[in-house]
Amino acid sequence: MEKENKSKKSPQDRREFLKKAGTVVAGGTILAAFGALIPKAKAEKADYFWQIDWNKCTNCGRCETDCVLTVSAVKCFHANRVCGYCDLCGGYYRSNVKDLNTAAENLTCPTGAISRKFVEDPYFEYAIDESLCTGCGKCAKGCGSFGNGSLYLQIKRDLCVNCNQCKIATNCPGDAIQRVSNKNAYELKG
Amino acid sequence: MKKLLFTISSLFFTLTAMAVQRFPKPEFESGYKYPDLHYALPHEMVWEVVDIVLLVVLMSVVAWAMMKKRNRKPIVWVSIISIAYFGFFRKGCVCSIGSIQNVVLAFVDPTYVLPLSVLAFFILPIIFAFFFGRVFCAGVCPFGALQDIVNVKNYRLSKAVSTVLGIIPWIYLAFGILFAATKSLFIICRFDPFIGIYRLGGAVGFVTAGALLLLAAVFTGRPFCRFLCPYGALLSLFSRVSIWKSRLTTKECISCDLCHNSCPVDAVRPPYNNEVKESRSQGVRRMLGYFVGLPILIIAGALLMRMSSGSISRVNKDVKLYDMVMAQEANPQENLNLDLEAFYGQGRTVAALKASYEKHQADFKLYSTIVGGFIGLVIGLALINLSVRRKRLHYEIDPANCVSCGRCFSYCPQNNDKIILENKNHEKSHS
Amino acid sequence: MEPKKEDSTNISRKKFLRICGSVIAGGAIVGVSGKLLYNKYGNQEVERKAQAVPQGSKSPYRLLSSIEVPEWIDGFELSGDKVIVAAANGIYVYDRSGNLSQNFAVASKVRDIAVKDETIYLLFPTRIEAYNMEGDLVRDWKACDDHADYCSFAIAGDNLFVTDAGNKAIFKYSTDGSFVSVISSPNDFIIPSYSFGITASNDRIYCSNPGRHQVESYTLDGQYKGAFGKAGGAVGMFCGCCNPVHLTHTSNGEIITSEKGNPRISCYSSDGKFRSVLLDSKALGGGNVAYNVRLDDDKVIVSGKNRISFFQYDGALAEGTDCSLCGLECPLRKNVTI
Repeated sequence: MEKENKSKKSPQDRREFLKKAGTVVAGGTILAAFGALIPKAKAEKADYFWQIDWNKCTNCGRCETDCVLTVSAVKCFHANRVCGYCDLCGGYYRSNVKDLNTAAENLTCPTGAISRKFVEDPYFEYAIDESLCTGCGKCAKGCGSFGNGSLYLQIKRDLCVNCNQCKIATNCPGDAIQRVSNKNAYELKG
Repeated sequence: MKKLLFTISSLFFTLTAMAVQRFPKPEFESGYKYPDLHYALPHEMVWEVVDIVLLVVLMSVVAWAMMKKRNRKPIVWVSIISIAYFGFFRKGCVCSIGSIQNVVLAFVDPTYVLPLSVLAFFILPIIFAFFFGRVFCAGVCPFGALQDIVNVKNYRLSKAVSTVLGIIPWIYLAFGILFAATKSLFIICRFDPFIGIYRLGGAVGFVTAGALLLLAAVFTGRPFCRFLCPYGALLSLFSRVSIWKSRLTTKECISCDLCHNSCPVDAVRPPYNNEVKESRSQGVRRMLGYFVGLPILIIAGALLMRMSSGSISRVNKDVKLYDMVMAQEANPQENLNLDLEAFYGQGRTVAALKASYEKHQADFKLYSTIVGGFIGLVIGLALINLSVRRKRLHYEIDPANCVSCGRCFSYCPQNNDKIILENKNHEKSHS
Repeated sequence: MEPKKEDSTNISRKKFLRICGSVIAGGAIVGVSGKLLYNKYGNQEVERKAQAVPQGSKSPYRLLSSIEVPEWIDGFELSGDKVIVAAANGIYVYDRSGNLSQNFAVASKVRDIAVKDETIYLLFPTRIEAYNMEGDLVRDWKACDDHADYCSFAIAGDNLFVTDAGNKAIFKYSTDGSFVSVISSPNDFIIPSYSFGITASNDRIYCSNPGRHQVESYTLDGQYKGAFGKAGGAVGMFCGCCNPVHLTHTSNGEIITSEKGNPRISCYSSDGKFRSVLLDSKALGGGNVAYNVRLDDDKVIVSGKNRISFFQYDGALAEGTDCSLCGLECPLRKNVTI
């Protein structure tokens, strides 16, 4: 307090001045940043959710292992209207199957999540039990290569926690996982 | 979470079906009908609005508790609410700390649209820090709240340790910006120690790290906030020059040192009488040392990072793929790994990949140089700060480091009317 | 400040509470982290390796040469020394060494191509067009039916036999465009996708019935003669829902099939006995899509993606394969002395 009387440009005054200048600069930066960012932020067009583009998906199997959740949020969907209802389903039976029965060694799905119901000769309706599906993509791969591709992987919206950056997306070989908006929460097949 | 079952309307089918190859339908003679498909919808957007409203309300409560009331109780309640809501219910994503990367990406990538809620999470704590100091850190941030709640017995770290460790948040901030600007990886999200606790599951390594950090938080205040959090570093820039600063007490300070002792982040500065008398020539030499040393550090940092930008760029997915493709072309293998199989299977050309690789290398070179210079600047300023002696007459709160937890108020006897009354009675009876 | 009451036997309440708090906090942290670690222990990431391509191809055929076409090939046909390729944006006519002699644009979605008497016939989902070698449209006609969705066709004599996935039957037209008759299968044609191959050999037409995993044969008048093939994944069987995709034949009457999923070219006798795998997945170039196949003298010509490849029987490679053990006078081994 004594120094204030001695000289006009005391260290405390200088410090106060610098602090005030800092405040002005900080305030200006906030305003500038805000102004620059607002045009880039459009609520309607913003993409919040992650989804798999089945055009690019290679069914590599990383969806099962790379999700941050214990049980992956990726599940296999079945597009009945695309399915051929075949008796020798490429997604149900593994590719070198010998006996066409429901023994586990003949089925593609490691958890037995695909079940089938006889409709009429020779058509079978296939369905996936989501509580058993792990998102490994083996059935989708078989269906895509041998059949019509009616089995495909999608991220379930009620399971996915919407990480800022999807861990599977960083590791996806086909770059298939992208941010999509709320309206396209799923990319369904026909 | 509620599971909303929703029948997909035929309109949806036709919209999406245009991209799908149509197949001849089986002829069902038994009158089989296709089943209706139900898919769960995402959570409602109302939670995003609640997030932002709660953020503003909680920060205002902390600001009021710090500036006006000078009481710790509201801040504890805010911490509990934040852990419950932002932590366990919303599972902590997208948080303010990660939002730095989104904002950087928005600046760099014109195609990336920044969600409004993320922008709000980024800018609102900064605005509040600019006005009231780091009120976000107090109890609104779920990580800070968690560490605050478990802080039982506080041991102070030596100035050397805390200065050195205090540089890490700046380095983390710099690298976080680097990797986000080059569209490589969100490292702040990847190396998040506490998210495993809030999600009740996660990678073994990170959950262990989080548990260890929490264990450390029991004995020393807020290790993540002080020594790791990049957003804290950013907020400290603004809180340093905040418009309103919190005062320890409105009454006369009796120099009991309780506030200094109680602060978990060592942000209370005791009074200091600068006895050191420096001759003018010594002072001039010191200033010259700063003016020469600081630029040297900056340039050294920039050069070092520029030289290592090639190795740093290996984090990027396209760069890694390029390495793999070059190795495969030079030495063709029979069994391709999944990435190479996808690359060749999708018909992508090596030329296009090379162009992408070159662009990434150029990006990395540019941003690494800037980041290197920044780190050099930070180290230089930290060193300079160690040698600066400031005269202080009273106990002050250092606004840059103060996380607004309010412990200093709760311990200060001058804030406690009961103790003041007791002291008065004591004096009366003894005088 | 008041001096603390320190009694060696009594702990002050504050100290006691502090110790309790530390113990509880520490215990809670250790307990929670222990439980989480216990749950996550053994979270081994077993990366599924890419499907191992078989080490070394067991194909008795050797790649001679290939022609690169600017776009993905929908179908191709051989005529004399010409190779006529149907691609997304037009017809390309090459000679055997790959020199382009003709190129004209046609509508997209060519499903199949056939050549007879210097006329190129193109099959579209609901119509057929005929061009001469210079690219001029000679004739075209629409399908006689509204539900038509044509997949593939073969020419026998003066007739076109067209397979229809929409009506699940074979439509017989004459080459000048008039509809003749419909052929249905007594087993019902089960066609889940656009894989419905057909070929005409020795007064018979052979077509695939992919849903039944067999190849059926009919006379040129539409009389059902028989079927062969069984479901399964091993060689000699048809797997998945859509195999065999493409069919062709040797001048001996052997039936050559091309499959998808696990792409391979196999040879069967005309009464259905499996003979041998001519080209397996590795020799063809991998992938999942079926390769279109035609035979020419002693060469097997295959098209996939944007490339036409010429293969020839090689005695050295054929050692130990079924091809070398086959006793037939196979035209594919005719000129091969090695």
